Amino acid sequence: MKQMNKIFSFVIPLFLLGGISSCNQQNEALIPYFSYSDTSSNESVKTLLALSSNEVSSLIEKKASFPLFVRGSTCDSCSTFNLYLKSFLNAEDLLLPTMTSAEYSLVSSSLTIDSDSVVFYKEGSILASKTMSDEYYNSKALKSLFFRYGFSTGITIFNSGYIQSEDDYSFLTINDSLTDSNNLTPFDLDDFKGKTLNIFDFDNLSWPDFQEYLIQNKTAFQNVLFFSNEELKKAGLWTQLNVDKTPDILGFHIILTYSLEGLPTLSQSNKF
Amino acid sequence: MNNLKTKLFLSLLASSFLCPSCSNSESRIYLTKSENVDSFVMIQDVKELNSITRYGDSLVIVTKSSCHYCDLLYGILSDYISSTHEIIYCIDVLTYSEAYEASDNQTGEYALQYPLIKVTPTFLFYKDGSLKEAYINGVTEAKFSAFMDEKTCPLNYYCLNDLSLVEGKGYYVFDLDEEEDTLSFTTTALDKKIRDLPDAPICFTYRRCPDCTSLFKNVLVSYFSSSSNKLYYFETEPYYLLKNSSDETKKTTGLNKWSAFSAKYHLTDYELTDSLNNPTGVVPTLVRFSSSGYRVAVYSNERNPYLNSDNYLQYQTSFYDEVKKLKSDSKVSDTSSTSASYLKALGELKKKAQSYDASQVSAFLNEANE
Repeated sequence: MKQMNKIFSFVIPLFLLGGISSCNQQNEALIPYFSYSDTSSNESVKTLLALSSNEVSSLIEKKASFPLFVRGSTCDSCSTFNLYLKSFLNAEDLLLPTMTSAEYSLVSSSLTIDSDSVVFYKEGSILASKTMSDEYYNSKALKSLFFRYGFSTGITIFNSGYIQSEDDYSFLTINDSLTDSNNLTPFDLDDFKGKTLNIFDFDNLSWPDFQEYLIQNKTAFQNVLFFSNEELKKAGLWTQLNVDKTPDILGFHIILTYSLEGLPTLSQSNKF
Repeated sequence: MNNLKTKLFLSLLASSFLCPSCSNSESRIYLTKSENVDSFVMIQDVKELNSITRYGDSLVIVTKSSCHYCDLLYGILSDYISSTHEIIYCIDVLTYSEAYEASDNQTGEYALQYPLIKVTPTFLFYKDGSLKEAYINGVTEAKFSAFMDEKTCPLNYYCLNDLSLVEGKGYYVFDLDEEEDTLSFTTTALDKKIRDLPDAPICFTYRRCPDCTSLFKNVLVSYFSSSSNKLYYFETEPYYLLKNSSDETKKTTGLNKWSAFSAKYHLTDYELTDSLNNPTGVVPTLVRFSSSGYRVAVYSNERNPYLNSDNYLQYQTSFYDEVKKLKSDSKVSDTSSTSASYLKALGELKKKAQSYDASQVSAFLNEANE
């Protein structure tokens, strides 16, 4: 659980960031969307991020900006809306926070929601809410709706939690870390300016899986951010990463430019 | 499990009376049967869905792989079909959504054939090739038979196209031709039935053919309402689609395949030739196989109308000699085949011919059952 707390503690700053990942003034008024991927899976897994009422209440209290899909259907498994939602999330590579309407009713200052709806929170306040009526059983209409109120940050979070499949949905499960105000923030993204950022949770990273993932996806990453509170401090892991020196760990993370050819380039920083 | 089925399916049925004779059948859809099925038939792709829903009556249930209610329904369907042998289709919502989102579901002749499905399972009832009703509410296991009686009218009309049980899935699929992506050309069930000498005729039909629709509505429906005997049918769609292909190579292949098929099953007893000068058959044709041989009846398909010396229209080519003697009621004043008087006379002649054909087919059906 302690590890999970650390793993997920970075999600708070992501939600709190608002428009940090773009210099575009227009985006500063919009809600940031993130991506999720899992190097241990051959398929790119797009998920819903399962939040509890306490977590959403905490985010609201901290004046976070985020979209929230409230599932109002009495029967998730027989609703077909998820097909269109998944199609949209896959196409746009987005991670969407979600909860049931019953859970949402426990959130402070929440709306009364009976059927599938999306609520857009901007700095802790409801910017807009939409019931998923017939017109939104269409991935194009969903794209139009989501990008009216938000934008894709280009930040992909890797291996940051447990995927749990339930009916048609795959949920990324967060436990209680979001409600813990004493959680350390593993990094500070305030200086991050609109570059693609790939965040790896090294404590959950399987190095062979990661290598295979890079090869299979023919991927070269820039701005790879490994964070860990445990394993990175062990020198042996740097050998695994082909880094020929043990960095002086000052903070929680390092940044690598990781290419498919040659050794990764290490730069060490607490700031971007 | 049975308890679950009963509890989970919320019933909103209004009536539960049985109606074996299918009175008020206009308000219900006709269902055909197959002796070889004891579970539902899963539609495999959009093309198959279109073929099934656009040209006649059918019940298609949209389901979803992870849907608990659908899992319960599958059990109910299997129990029901085991005793009735009715052909009931299911389609996965992912396949269905392709049809729903297709451009021809937005505009044109087949617009709105497939409604937005928000919940599974959804029952889609198609009548005469059009959506009659989309039924969303659940049905209890106890009331499923009554529900089907209210919505459908099963006929003793048995399909002889090949079906396969999908191992581990518990449902059937029609044998589809991979290249043409339509019903296959296989005749295993048909040949077996002929070998077994069925005590019933076999109707060779093509679901997109107006004459076949006419036979069904004008002859077969009344036959089934007065008889509890079986009638078999073989859907010849793959042959017709292939020989009607715009690709010349495929068309030639189709004509040759159809000629061979027609000769094998005696459809060539109506002596016609195709564009390759092959002997060929027509649909609908009914053939009764027995130990003493076979007999053939043909509905419609008269050819070569001509003006007799009195300027009345007659057919030069018909399976029945009596039809060749029939004349139009009115004379043709303008001999152009597009003139009003010619078309009027042709309509009169066709009506008379079909009436005669219908009487012959009816007699053939009843004779076959004696």
